[in-house]
Amino acid sequence: MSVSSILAETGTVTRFAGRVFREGFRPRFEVQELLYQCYVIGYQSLPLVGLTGFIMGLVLTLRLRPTMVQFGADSWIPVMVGMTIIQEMGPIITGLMVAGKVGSNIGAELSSMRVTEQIDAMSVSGTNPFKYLVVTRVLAATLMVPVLTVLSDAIGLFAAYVGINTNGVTTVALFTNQIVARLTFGDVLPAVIKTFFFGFAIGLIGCYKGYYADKGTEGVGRAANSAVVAGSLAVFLLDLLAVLISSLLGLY
Amino acid sequence: MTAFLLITNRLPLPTMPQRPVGNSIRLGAFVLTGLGCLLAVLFLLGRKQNLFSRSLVIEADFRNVSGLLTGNNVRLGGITVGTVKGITIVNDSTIRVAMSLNTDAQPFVRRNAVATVGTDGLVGNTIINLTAQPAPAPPVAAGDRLRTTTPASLNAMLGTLDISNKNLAVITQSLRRMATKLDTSAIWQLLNDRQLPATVHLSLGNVLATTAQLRQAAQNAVQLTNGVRRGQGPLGYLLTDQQFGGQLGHAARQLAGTSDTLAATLTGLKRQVQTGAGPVHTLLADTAAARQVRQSLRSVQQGTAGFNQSMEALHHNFLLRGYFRKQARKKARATADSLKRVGQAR
Repeated sequence: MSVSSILAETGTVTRFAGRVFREGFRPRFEVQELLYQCYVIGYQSLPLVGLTGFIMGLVLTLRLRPTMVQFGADSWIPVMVGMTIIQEMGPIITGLMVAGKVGSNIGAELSSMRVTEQIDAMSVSGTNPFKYLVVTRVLAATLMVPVLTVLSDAIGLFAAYVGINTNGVTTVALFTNQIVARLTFGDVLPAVIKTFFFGFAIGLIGCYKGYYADKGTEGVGRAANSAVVAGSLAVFLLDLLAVLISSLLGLY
Repeated sequence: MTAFLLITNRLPLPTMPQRPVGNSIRLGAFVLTGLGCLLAVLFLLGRKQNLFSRSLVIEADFRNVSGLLTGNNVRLGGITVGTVKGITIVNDSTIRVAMSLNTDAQPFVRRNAVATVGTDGLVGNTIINLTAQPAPAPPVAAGDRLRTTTPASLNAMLGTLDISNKNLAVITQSLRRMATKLDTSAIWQLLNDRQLPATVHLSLGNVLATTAQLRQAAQNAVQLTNGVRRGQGPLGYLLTDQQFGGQLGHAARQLAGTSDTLAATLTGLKRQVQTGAGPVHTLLADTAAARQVRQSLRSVQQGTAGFNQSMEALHHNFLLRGYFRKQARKKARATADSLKRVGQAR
């Protein structure tokens, strides 16, 4: 892949994103379809995201415990696990899981519709396919990934609570106070805000790959695959960007 | 045409039949749970930073706030009663800290409370500690400015410790030198000598004996002096007899008289010798008299030799022989008696 093709791809994606905004703010709004996409992207991803979040929190706690006990700092485990989950682990794990599940779903669905010419048929029938298919999905992903992240954080923290209680004893009040005492708005808000961008990037890339899929069944597989890969990569890049920006703003 | 058929047959399939009402309820519950979690966290953080409780702002001027940040805790007796609301630089040596204080804690924070900058634990956040003073004072009101003190900072303590360490290094060095010198010194060898106690013990025994003898000598001296004091013995007589002095004076006077007489006699003798009158001159200076004396003495010698011969002849004379024999026998008997007495004594 040459530099010019990368630049061309970036330009196309940017134009695609601009089109999403342009179409998105123009009535009439596809509310029903949006809610349905929210249900698919958000609610149906919850078991997967919740499970990974739970395992992440538990593993993190159990792994951290021997080291912290060695330093005599087992009272710091909730703080460390809480900070890790809320700031990085929750958003990243959720972003990756959503990129894997939803990104591939969107890429495969839109590319198959493109391959079977359903998208062309929609435009012929008077329905704006871009508004109906792309804007709803991108918006749904943008709105649902933060919710999924918050829930994943909550489940992960509950898992950490369980993990601490397997080796020692703590109460919900103490656990909560230990975390909240060290937590600031500067820790929580950037972590939540960046997940909107994660969701937007996942939805946008999935839709882009699916919407501009090549003809043929081979194109469907490639679109699904590249939607996942590019989406995951975008999550990491955006996370790096978020860390740099929040450092610049003094929020850490 | 095929496209139209596809629309009528396929388009509704992925969307329309999958929208029962239950889905919306689940979605609503899902979103509300997520938002609820987020709001709960934000509320807890906001309550921690007193965003939702009524508060009043008080101030304090510090020289150094050691990295205090807006939002750090303000504590009274270790309990969080507020947060730092703002930090402004008044001038190059004064930092003004505005603190937002809970109204719940207002009655307990007195106007004479002292604010200090401290840390939460050894490496924790910087905080402001309010310390209550024993004297009575009204509660703080909004806009009050509290007094401040500078606590012993870790840097200052480390600085003092550094000086102490350097001093200690010098002290230990000289101590080490002293110990080395002591180790090689004669005193140490003396102290290390194992025979020393025995020797000292022996010496002490000798000293004991000597002192006993000294004591006896002193006793004797005491007796002697007592005797002298009482006038016993020659010394006592010498020192205590009252008449001795007078006698000594008399003797000396007589000695003087005698020596005068002697001097006069000698003067007379000398005159005789020098003038040639009197017998002394004849004895000492007349050579003719000396020759006559020598001749006379020789005549006497010859006379005594002749007398000796005459006596020997008398020994052998029968008239006197018996007497001489009796003499010899008496002498022999006396010798035998003395020998016998010596033997009995042994």
